Amino acid sequence: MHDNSLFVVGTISASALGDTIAKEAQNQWHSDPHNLDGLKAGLNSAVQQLPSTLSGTVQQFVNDFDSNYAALLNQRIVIGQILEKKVAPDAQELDLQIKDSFDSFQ
Amino acid sequence: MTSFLDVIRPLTDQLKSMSDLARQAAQTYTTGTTKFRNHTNDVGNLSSPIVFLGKGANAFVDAVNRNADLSTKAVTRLSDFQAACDDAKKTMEDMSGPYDNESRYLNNVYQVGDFSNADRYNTYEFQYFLDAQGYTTSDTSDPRTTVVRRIREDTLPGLSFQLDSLLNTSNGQALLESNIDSAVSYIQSDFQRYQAKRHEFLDGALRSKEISKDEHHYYSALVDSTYEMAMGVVNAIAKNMKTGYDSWDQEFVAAANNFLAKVGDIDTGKLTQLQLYNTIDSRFHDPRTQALLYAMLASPYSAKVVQYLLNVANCSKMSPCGDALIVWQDGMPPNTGAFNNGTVTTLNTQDFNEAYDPNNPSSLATLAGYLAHESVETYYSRAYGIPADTVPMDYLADYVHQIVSNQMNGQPVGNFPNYQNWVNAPQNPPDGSDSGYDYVHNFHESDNPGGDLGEHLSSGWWSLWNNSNPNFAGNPMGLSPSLLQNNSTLPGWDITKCWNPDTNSFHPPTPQPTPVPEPVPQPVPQPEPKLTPTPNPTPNPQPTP
Repeated sequence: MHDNSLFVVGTISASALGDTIAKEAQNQWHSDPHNLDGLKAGLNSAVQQLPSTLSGTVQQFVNDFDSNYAALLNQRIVIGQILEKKVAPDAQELDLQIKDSFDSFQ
Repeated sequence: MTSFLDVIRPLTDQLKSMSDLARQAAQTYTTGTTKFRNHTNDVGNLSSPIVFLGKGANAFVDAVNRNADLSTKAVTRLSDFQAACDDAKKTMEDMSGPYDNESRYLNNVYQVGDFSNADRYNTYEFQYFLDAQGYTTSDTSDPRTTVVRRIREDTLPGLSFQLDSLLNTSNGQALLESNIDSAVSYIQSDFQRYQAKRHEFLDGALRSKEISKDEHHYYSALVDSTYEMAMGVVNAIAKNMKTGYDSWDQEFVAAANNFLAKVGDIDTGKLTQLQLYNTIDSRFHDPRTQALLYAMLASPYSAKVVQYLLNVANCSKMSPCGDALIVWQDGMPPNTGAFNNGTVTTLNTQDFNEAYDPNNPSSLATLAGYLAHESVETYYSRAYGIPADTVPMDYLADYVHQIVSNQMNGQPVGNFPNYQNWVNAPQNPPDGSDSGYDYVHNFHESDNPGGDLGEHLSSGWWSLWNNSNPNFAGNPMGLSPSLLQNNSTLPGWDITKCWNPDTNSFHPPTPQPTPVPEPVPQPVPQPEPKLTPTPNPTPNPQPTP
């Protein structure tokens, strides 16, 4: 028995929804990694000009934030890619894809 | 006039730059995360929905929300960083302003009078502060401020290039006091030149008989006494400025340390750990197992063991999986270790109940060592079919136990006996080191890494068995059969030589030349359940020579 409380069975084709999601993914999900690169570059530039007394700790923060958020963004891209296929996978396939996407960066 | 704000501007500029970047990024990521969560979760509410059903739909929504939750935490930490930058900048600016106030350096310094009469042979104290340094009464109404300004201009401009020294309390004070001493010496030189100039003037007046010898003596003494008085004022001001500069530096160091503490406390590295917590919770549901694995995440090699257990517990890829892999047995005597059947590890409930302190992660260090020991064995069993009940296997697994327990206790990994000494050691070695006595004498385990079935095999014996899969469960513990093989091929084998403390990982030993193995039947050995004797839990690390 399926739980369809969140995704309603309807009449529209999967590709129409895929278009909407894909557009969103291109506009936002795919731009965030570039934003992150810009943030890291800007912070790294500032760190280089800090007294060395402070730079190590700040650099550690920058690196930690970058790696963590990059992992989260990569995860979103995986989720976006599932939607961008414009074909709704069956339940089991989607379940595995999602789980694999989480396993991939642990 | 150079200010203390100018000194720290290279730092405050960067703090502002980092704050601006973090603020802008936090806004962008907050918007992005909200869109991501709302848009994807609203998919089901669109007027044109999609066939996304059952388990897959739930997994999708769970994944989106989990990602958004973690993203929100990450963005919060970015905002915390921005706040730390803002706070440090404001603190440093606020603390610096008062030190630019010249009057604070004149406390308890007596006034310098500006009275003078028409006697041009007289020398007045104020002349040292004005004439000697090129100032006039239009520059300042208080001659003493000329000294403050001279010292400031001779010290502050160069300090902005020496922030690292200033951020070290003792170095900073030494630097500041040295700079002030130098500035005073320049002023003293000017005063001495003026003093000499006045003496020359009086000498000329005497020679031209403008003044008498007695008058010359009087006026000359006045030149020297006013010089001494002026230098007394300079030294008093310099003392005040040293005190003030030192105080400013202490506040500067405190502000920087406060900033470092705040940034350090942000601790973004825990995000990955949070995801691991989530995965632990989703794959193991026994609170004892969860507590044990949480505690193991905190140390380098035990975290690799946890990763192995999470990978092997992934029910979408492995069977058996999840809770079936780690079970707890009641009724066992305490400190009887743990055992496995090649796949499932059984831990002692009594050990957990006696050791567990929720406020002390290292309380489970010994139990974690047992679990690590069994994890090594189940890896070899499932990756290669190598039996667990061999002396070489327990030699390696006991060393892993020691690595895990000692690291969780915040101790060095420590020494470990070589294979020969370990096998021949008494049951409880006096030096507290680990011993293979029980494995040899009580369990009568094979000294061949392949077990009794593998006694006729040499190098490559593991690869002859079925289902050889070196990358089983991703092999995060970094194990290889060569770590076992050398136990038998080299009686004096020292497992610690394969341990890299810098990377907290094993590296394979140098291969030994071995004969080509003869073909043999390939029965898949069925590992027998075996009990792991209690190793000495935390052998005292011996000092590294």
